[in-house]
Amino acid sequence: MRRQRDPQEILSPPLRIAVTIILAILVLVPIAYTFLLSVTPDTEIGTDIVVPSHWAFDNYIQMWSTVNLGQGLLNSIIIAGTASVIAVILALGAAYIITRFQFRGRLPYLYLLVGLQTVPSVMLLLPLFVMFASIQAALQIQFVGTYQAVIITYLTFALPFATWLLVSYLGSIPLELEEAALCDGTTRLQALWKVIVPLALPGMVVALVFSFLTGWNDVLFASVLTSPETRTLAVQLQAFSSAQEGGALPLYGQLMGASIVSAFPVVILYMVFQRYLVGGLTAGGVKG
Amino acid sequence: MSIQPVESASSLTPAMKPERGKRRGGGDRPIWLMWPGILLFIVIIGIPLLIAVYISFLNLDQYSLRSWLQAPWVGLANYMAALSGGETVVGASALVSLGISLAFSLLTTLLITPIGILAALTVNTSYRGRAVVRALYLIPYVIPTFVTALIWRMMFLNGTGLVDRSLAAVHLANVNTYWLLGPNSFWAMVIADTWASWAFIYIMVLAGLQSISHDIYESAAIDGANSWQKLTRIVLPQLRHILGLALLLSTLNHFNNFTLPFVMFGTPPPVQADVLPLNIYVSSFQLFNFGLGGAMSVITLIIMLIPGFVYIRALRLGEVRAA
Amino acid sequence: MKCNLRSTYLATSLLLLLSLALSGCGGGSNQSPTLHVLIGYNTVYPKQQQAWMQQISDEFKKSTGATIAWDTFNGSSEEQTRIQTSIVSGTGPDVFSMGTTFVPTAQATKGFTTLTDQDWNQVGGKARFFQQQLTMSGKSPDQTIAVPFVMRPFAMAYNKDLFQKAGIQAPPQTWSEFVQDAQKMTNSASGVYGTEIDPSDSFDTWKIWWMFAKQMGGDFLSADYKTAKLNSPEAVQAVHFWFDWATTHKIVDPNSMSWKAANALQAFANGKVGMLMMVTSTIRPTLKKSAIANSYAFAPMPSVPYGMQQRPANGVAAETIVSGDSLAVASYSNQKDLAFKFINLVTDAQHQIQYSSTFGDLPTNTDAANTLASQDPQTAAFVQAEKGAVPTPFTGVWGPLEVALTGVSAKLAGEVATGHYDPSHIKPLLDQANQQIQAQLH
Repeated sequence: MRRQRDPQEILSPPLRIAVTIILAILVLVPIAYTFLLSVTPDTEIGTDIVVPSHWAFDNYIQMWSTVNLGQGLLNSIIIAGTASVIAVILALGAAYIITRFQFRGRLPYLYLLVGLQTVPSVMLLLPLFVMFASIQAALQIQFVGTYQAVIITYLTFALPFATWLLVSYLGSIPLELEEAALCDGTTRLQALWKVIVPLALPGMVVALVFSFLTGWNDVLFASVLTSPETRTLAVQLQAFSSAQEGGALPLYGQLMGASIVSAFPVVILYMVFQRYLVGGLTAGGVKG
Repeated sequence: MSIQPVESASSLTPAMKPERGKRRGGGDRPIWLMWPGILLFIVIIGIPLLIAVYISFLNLDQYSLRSWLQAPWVGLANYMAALSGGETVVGASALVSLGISLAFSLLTTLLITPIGILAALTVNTSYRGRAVVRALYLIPYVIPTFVTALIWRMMFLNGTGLVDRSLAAVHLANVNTYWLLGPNSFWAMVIADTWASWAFIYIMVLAGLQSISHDIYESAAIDGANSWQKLTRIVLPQLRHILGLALLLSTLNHFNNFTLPFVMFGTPPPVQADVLPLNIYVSSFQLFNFGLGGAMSVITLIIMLIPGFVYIRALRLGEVRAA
Repeated sequence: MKCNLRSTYLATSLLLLLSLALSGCGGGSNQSPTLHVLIGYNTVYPKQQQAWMQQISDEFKKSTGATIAWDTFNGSSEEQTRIQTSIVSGTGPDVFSMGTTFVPTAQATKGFTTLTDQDWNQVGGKARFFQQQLTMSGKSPDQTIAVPFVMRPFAMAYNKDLFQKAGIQAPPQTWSEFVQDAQKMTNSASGVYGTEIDPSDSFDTWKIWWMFAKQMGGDFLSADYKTAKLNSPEAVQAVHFWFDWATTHKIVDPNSMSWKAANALQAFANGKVGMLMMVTSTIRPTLKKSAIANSYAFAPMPSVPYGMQQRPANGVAAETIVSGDSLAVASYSNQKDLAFKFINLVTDAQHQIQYSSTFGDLPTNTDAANTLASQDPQTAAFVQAEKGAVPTPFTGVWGPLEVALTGVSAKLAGEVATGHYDPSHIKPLLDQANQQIQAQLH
């Protein structure tokens, strides 16, 4: 039926399949190993025992009560989710201005974004906490330990990246499209919303994914900025391995199980959003 | 339209001159869209950065931590200590760490780029099961870094880990090759990080591929371009801004990767894997030498800024409109 | 339309930011006073810990009317960062639970309340606690900041089956006997070794070296804590002896250079190790689930240096280090009175017995410890060991000193792993560590 090759096709089907298989193996071997470890009794992990003496499937049950994993997952989704959505909105606004207007400080601002990206975040931990604490003291509010404190932090860390990314996307969207709309009397913001956003969706999705992962992965800031109620997943996972400091064995099995399970929300999130990755310019019917 | 794919491609970008002020279309210029971001940068990064720079001039340790504003001012002493390259018993010296970090971030970026591009190309055309493959590629990237590090610690355990067992099975190395200690630790870190992060390039390229117009492919198809020609004449030129940006950001991200070596090796790490963020962390939070940690951070910042700017200029990133 | 979009944007950005900052107001002004307590998260007994927290909260509420807000940390890195950020900013928990060897560093920060006699009376009086634990409460008896909460004396665990197989009657008393016994048990063909070494661990290394050095009559610091002695002959000898287990005596797995304490415990649990060094009673839950659940026992560590018949005149038995968790009250706290009431509650005999029977740590409350010891011989052995516990030098540099020594160990382990080890490398590394620590001594 489809005799003619898709012009977008760059790898021939056999080559494509070969590359996919190799990549899948590279991805899956450590994952499979992780899964094997997750059902191996803790005393046998990392020893010369290859096939566990028994399958410790109960790790997948215990892990929910060893730490409050459900709460942690929820917290991480709330925190990383909110932070990434706000980051993308703010980045979109900034990127639009940067790509559509010439103003003093435009290039310096872009440079600043890269500069911010080079700041070693370890360096900011102590000062940031001091600043939050001062705000707390000055305004007589509880700030450290709330969702807001971590969200604002992650949001800011993700913003330079998201802005750069969207600058690059918006830059490749031809002005003609907007101009047609602007001539009709629509405002800039309407044009942004109606013309640019649909075209920039792939870029926005990418920015969203990366911003999300900024918060999802962080351990350092979350460990001091959250309270038990707002503690994120990444920090909670540490609990499984910190058991060793009390003299017991790390709960490797539960940790591995928990990490497999906790990868699901992000993969699902991506699968939901990925249809927006296709689309963009091609869907908008723009001609080169 | 059917002549040179490259030219028609590049005509996409530099289309128009940027507007100067109120010219048309309602005349609104919503510069205020920038303010929230700027405000956040000042509060969340700017002020703490200034504090950190101030700390780098102090002798801030366990004795002065509580009243840190009164900690003794030592001028450039911390910078001298960081730059003197003096041997330290814990991990590597600051300059050695800097070299390790640079090598690590450049090398991993170099490794993930072809993998990421190749992966994106395998899911660019639609076929049954593509959604599954797309999701699969993402898994290493979305596993929390903390866990990635532990998985690879297990994989790299000498004697019992999967890596050594596999290498021994095909007679490539002794089953007791150490990966978590000594010179190999650097490579262990590179491999783990490559595994975890190639999806970064993959996602960037995949999204970028969507913005290449069908017409360009079609014209290339009419010209009878082969795969390699399509890749080098259409895809890469079209993606050069995205790729340029991806390489820059990837380098910076890897340079600042703290969690992976921290969890994989613990503290203090092997000298060969003592990347700068880890070194800063150990100096500040474990050895209570916050001033030295601050000085190392400031030096890092300056050193990373210079090539970053040169790179931006060279690739004309961000000048898409003004070119 | 314009207004719509603009306000939408504002709502999602600026307003959100402002509301983010301000909506934190809620938690600030509660009706009843709240005491913030930071303790280590217990991964082995999470449910029991939850129940314990709830019970303590309820009882505390009943007796004082105040609420306890619990906060937890995972692991010592996180703990240390929490303490540092709290002290530098003057905000955070009121009561900190901290590792006993970290107390000196904590006191050096001046971030914790110095306890007056009256304060001590409020927490039940010094007589309530093990005297050894009190040595780590502060730099001098009248300048204390920490109240002992639980203790974890160290011992060695040994595999009774392997002992029997090798014809060993009793645990070794001297390190020479120890090496001989270990050699008898070692059978590298079957992967069984007399003992273990974990040079990549962040804690075991300095503990073992310090014990060796003490037993030989040395220390890591001079008696007045003004001079670092990390490169003293005893210290060098201590490090040398330990790595000899791998390089000369061959009584440990030769490929264990990347081991941490957990790897050693695993090997022991799998019956591959005869004697497991420097462990506490908290390994019992792990071993209970292992293949050797019924064939291990605890014994004191040997206390006579290698190659000697008895300790030198200035040598200290140092079978165990004063170790455990202590409670300290932050100096910025404005709930100090409640804090002491809380400490009093959790260190009284009844609560200590209950805590210990649940979690396995030993009580610091003497009455509670004696009660428990009379019920269980293994506990009795640990309580006995505690009486010989030696405190580590009480100095603010102890935290960094631990890290520096761990650095030495990591470097030497790397050399052994890559075949570049030579005992002559020990002294220069310790010289460097010494220089680094000396620079921090005030």
